[in-house]
Amino acid sequence: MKARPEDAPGERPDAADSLSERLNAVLEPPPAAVERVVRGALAGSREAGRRRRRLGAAAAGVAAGAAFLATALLMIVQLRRPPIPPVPAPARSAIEIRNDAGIVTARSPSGRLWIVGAAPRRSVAGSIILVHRGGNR
Amino acid sequence: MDLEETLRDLAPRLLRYGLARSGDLALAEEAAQDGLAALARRWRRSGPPDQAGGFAFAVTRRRLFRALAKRRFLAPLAALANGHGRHPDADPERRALSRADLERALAAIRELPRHEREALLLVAVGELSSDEAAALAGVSRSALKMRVLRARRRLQVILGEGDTR
Repeated sequence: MKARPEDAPGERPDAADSLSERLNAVLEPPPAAVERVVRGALAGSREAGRRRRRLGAAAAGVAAGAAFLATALLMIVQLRRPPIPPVPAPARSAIEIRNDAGIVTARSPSGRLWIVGAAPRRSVAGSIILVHRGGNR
Repeated sequence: MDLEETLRDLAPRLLRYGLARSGDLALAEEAAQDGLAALARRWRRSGPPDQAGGFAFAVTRRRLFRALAKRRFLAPLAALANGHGRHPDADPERRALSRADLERALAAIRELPRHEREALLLVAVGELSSDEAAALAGVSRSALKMRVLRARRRLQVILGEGDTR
């Protein structure tokens, strides 16, 4: 893509070309510089491509490592957490034993009442004992 | 044209452009290499762009612009640190160029108004087509051609006055 004489309308082509030639002759770079620039550009672009690929691979590696670490941490936390106790089934009163003024009675959930007898002497106050069925204590 | 051929075609054009813009071959090399490396990456990733030259010149121009702005910003500090600014002749390869001619051409180019200078460098030194250069400069094709024409005339006058050979 050389500079064309028609690029400068109204200018005498030979004069325009002569000026360009003079300028280019004076500014002509040393061949070694041209070679350096071409080699550097080719090597630089390859190196940049390799660097980009290396960076991509490194980023993928870091992401995979982070994901692995997060998973491992999550598993450790899960393993170290104390087991959740099972929720006891709601207790249901089975029989109620009561000491009322020295008389021990037993009452079933259906309301049936038994008189067990006199309470032992050492017992001085009234008390209620509830026997639950299905409790684990 | 394959990638390497394209890079080989563009490299001297970008270097000439960078040298004309900055007057510093090392900086021109850095910017040109950045532009070509960006083009190579783009080419490998998704095929050649529609205008490979325009693509590489756009990246190189941005790099040069930033580097020159940074240099202008840091110039007072560099001068304080070194006792003087960076001397272009510090580069041995630069010394191999015809120094007097180069300096004269660069001085003449620097005398051009900014828009005209940019248009002339893109077309006459970077060898971009008017359409590519117009797209890069953000102006219409006819406006760019007018700038190139004016820049050429101005430069001929400047170089003609200074040419005593």
